Amino acid sequence: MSGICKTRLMEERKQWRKDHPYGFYARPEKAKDGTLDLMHWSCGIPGKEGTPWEGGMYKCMLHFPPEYPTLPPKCQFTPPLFHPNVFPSGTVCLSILNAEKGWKPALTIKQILLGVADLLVDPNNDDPAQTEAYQMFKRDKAGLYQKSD
Amino acid sequence: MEDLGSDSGVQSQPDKGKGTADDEDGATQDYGDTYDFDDDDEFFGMDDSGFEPVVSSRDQRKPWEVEYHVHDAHGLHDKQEAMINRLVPVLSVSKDITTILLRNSQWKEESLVERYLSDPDKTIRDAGMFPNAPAPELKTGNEDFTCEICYCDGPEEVYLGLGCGHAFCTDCYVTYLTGKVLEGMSWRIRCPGAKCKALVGEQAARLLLANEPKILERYEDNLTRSFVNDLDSFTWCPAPNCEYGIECHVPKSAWATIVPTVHCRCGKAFCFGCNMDDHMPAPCFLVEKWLQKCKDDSETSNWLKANTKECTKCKATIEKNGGCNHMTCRKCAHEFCWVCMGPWTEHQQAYYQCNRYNEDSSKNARDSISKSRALLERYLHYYSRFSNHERSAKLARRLLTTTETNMEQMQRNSSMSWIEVQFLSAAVDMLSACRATLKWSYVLAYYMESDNQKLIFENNQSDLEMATETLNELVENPVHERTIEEAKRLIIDKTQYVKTRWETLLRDTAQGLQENRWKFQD
Repeated sequence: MSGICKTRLMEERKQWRKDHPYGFYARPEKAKDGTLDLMHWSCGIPGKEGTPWEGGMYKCMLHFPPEYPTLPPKCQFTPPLFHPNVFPSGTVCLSILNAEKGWKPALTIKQILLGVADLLVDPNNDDPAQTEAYQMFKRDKAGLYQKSD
Repeated sequence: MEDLGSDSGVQSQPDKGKGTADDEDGATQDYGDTYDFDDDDEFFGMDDSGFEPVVSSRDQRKPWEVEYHVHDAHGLHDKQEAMINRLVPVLSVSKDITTILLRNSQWKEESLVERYLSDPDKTIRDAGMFPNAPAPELKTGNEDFTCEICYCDGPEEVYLGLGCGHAFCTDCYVTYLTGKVLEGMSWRIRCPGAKCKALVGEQAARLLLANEPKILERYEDNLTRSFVNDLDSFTWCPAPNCEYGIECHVPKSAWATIVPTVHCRCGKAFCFGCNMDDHMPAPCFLVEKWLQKCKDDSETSNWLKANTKECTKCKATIEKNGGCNHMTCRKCAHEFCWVCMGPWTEHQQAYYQCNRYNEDSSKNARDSISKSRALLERYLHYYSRFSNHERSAKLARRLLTTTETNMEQMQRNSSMSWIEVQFLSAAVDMLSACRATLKWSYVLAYYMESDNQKLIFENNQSDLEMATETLNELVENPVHERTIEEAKRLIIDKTQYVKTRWETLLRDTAQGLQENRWKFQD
């Protein structure tokens, strides 16, 4: 399996360098000896224009398990975000990142990051991961995340 | 739905006291013995046709018994195949698509055919298949192919594509399927393509897993499992490690008046409706209500009864843990006297002459309390008998061990052979059956409204109870001041009598439920 994992991640890297959504970045971490650590990527998601997230760059790590792409990577915001679907640890709760729900081996890093970017703007309050943001979002949906027109 | 001629044998009702079966019909008896307690299912699945015409279980069914079939894995598989094959010509699409359509509609043929005929293409697409897609096949030699999972490419790659257009190399596909199959999935496995809703059909799965016999076997198991889980008329035997599926066509709507008790080939007797242990004669809805009530009440009710009183106004339960007898209810602020339960206003002047026993206000208060206590009393009456029989049933199991020693002893002390002392174990079997029935009969009685019909029921109940107790005593101490021959005759007679009482109670309740003879209260 790990054979597939490495080749797949190399290919992901190649594809990302060829083409990726504007404003995003994603690159493997550097290991201590200076080589690339393909199992851990640091990524950035730009805040979408016209939303309260605008202007920010939200940093997250993608941690790939050795069973990737059979199992999904873990996506963790550093520092943790104030968002109903982000656990206090910063881990993102999203169906396409859940092996029992929407994860498919063919999902690319690009699709994952775009999915997370959508989640920022459009929280799923049926599946909360932290109480504080969940409660606030429940009480004041319009004010908290959607820009008032 | 009746019979497709492919099930693994019509099941005759195993008699509770199997040794004392009173069927006059020799052929039936034979049949029952060979089938009910035979665990050699290989023999079963392969050679079922020869036995089909031997008996029609309907002729000998007792009023409290329901019709059902026990299927082993082969039988279940055949049953699925038969349902699918029957629908293929009706829908006139490939077997692969028909199968998915049936599974996707929970095997409800009628509604599926209706939906299909109004819009075939949409029905197929909604189910995750593609109407005109060619049969799945492994391909190779494509210059342009790239697997979207491992990014291997080139003409030497072997790959498979579904009607959705996504194609992946066989290695990735097999790894993906293996993971899903081990998670317990079967036909609901979707194409590995990102966000693709297409289903990997059974044909494609079998093609891909051809070299992984273990996973393929598991896949087929999962298919059968989902078949039994999806169909209302099928259920698994709940006994641990039992692999038989039970088919029973008593509809859910009838469970209020029929107790669908089924006997699995493994020996387990359970209710088809709620999967609980056999709870005849009480129907499922009362059983559920009762168990919930017991969960809520029984633990605490005894303590409450001994240590608390209720506020005469709001019925809040109050424990007096010290202080004087001037009570002020925390809930409704009602003030009353703990001793006579009368309102405190009448006590203010002369408390220590709380001698107002017959005065109206305190009498009323006591009346209302005794009413709610009476409800509790009533519940406890039935509960104690219910749990008593439950305990006795457990003891009966232990009795079986002592009985075995008794039987050995008899063989040594008399000229009786092994077969001649079997009457003892038959008596114990009968006892356990009666204990179980008696236990649940108290639940039925608890919810019954008192009227003459209930009296008749209670007479039957007490007859059976008395007979059971006598038999129990005899079995526990068979040769007490008697010769073995006498004891044997006595026990055989009593067992037969108990059996008649037992059947009477079951017949009467089964008919009574059907006729709505009793009114039930909360």
